Amino acid sequence: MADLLTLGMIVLYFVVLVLIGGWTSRKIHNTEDYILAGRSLGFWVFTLLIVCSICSGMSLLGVSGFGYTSGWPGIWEQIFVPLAASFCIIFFGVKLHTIGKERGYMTIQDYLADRFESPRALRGLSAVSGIVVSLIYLVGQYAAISIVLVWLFGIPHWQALLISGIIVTACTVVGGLYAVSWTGLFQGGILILGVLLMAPPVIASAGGLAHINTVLAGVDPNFIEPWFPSPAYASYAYTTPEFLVSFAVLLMVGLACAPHVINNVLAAKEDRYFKWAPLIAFGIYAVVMFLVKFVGFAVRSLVEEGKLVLPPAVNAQDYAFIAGVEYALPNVAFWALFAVIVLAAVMSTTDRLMLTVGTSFAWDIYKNILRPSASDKEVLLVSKVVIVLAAAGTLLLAINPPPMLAWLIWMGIGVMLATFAVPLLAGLYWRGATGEGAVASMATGLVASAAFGYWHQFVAPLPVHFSLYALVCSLLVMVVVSLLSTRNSETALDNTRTGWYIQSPVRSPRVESPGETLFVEQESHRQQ
Amino acid sequence: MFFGLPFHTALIVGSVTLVVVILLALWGLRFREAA
Repeated sequence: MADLLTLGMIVLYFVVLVLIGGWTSRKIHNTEDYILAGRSLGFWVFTLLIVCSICSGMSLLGVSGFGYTSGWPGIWEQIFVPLAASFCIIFFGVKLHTIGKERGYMTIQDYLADRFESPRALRGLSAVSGIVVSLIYLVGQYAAISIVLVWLFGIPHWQALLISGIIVTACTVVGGLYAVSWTGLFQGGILILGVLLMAPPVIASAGGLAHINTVLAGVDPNFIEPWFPSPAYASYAYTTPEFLVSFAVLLMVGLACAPHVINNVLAAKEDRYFKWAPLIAFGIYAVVMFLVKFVGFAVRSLVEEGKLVLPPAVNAQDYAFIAGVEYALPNVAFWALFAVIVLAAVMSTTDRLMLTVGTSFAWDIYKNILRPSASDKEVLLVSKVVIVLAAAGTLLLAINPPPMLAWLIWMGIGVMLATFAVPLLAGLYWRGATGEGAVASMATGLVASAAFGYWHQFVAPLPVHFSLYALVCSLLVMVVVSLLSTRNSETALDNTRTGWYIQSPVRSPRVESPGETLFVEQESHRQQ
Repeated sequence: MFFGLPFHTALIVGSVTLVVVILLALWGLRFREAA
């Protein structure tokens, strides 16, 4: 389907990306501009940046694929993943943004180093973990980009990767977070409008939701139930109630504390954005993702009725959205728009991941551990070089993707959850959490998630997602080691506003009565 | 039946979504903006 119109749309899309990169590069004057867009992101740019960082191409193709294979029991993904954006903004964002502005944090590692008074060990460990997880994710993103471009143009896999890799790398290198966030706004807009425009015709072409559900029930009566019965009776029937619990924690908390997502909260311009951003991010993302899931249902119904055949690939379900659009909208203009939508979804996560890798290395490892005397200019240069190297390395891996790519990506999210969730949440809300506890908890999470992930994949399947076991280990280690070690100084705890509240009850004069705010712990941490 | 779904599926999925929206709206309404 590589017609002239599609080519034109894709070229136009890439030109807009490059123009945004060029325009935003003029705003970069120092490291803070590059890493955090000068802490100047407005409400919509910030909200869509969070959504776009979570919503990847894998999720767009994978969501419809999951709907295709598992029916309604997989619908919870459409609530848990959008909730990751809200969870990130509420439970991490409000506090981290305020402290970050006061203390000048550039990355989440700055917070961990400051809160746990561990400028080297914890900073280094968390930076390395963040880089590894982001790189694993990047390989998956490039693999998704190439699926789309190969499908569109029939060009060789490596050419597709090279074209997209060069453009997205150039944009990220020159424009930093300014470019990532503004292209995110542009790409998020395309994604939302495109899905709103395309999903309804696909669903209608399959006979509407009521008919689709009737066909699904004919395939497997459990396809229209809220979950599959336990224990799982087929490979597609793994969303049992107990699995859904681990799935909720994994997606909602694991994605929320992923380095390429959580760092965005430091870049918002004003505190007041945190008021409605959780609801708006959830609303936008949930509507889009529900529609994408319904497309997966529709395509399954069309296939069962013999109206549509998916390509004979191992991951045939991942082509559900593509096949559905081709079937329902036999107009090349829609295909061209669809191509841009998928590219936008993939690219918007890819650039954020690359920036995260570059800044984690340049700021946390190079500037704060290896060479504290490095100038702003030097840090910027290192960051850009690392972004190029990361892009080159992951592109090479994506050309010959490891056979266990899907497993690696699931591992990536599991590792994020098991490694970052406990130190971050304990750091923000528990004054008893210590630096030793955080290092031990993070290391345990890393090792345990690898061990349980390996066990689940190669030894015996576990009833719930492997990351939940690793999370529990990480939590236990945090509590035990913290209780056995010396507490961090009161100054550090006060400076980082540690305590069982989200909005500090002390520093705002507008709080008048104990019942005035939701989620606000009225006991000031200063009184402890 | 609701759009071809059993009533309990529609009820469970619909009410969880609604509860999430209400909680997030409450968060927005009770959020205290800095002075």
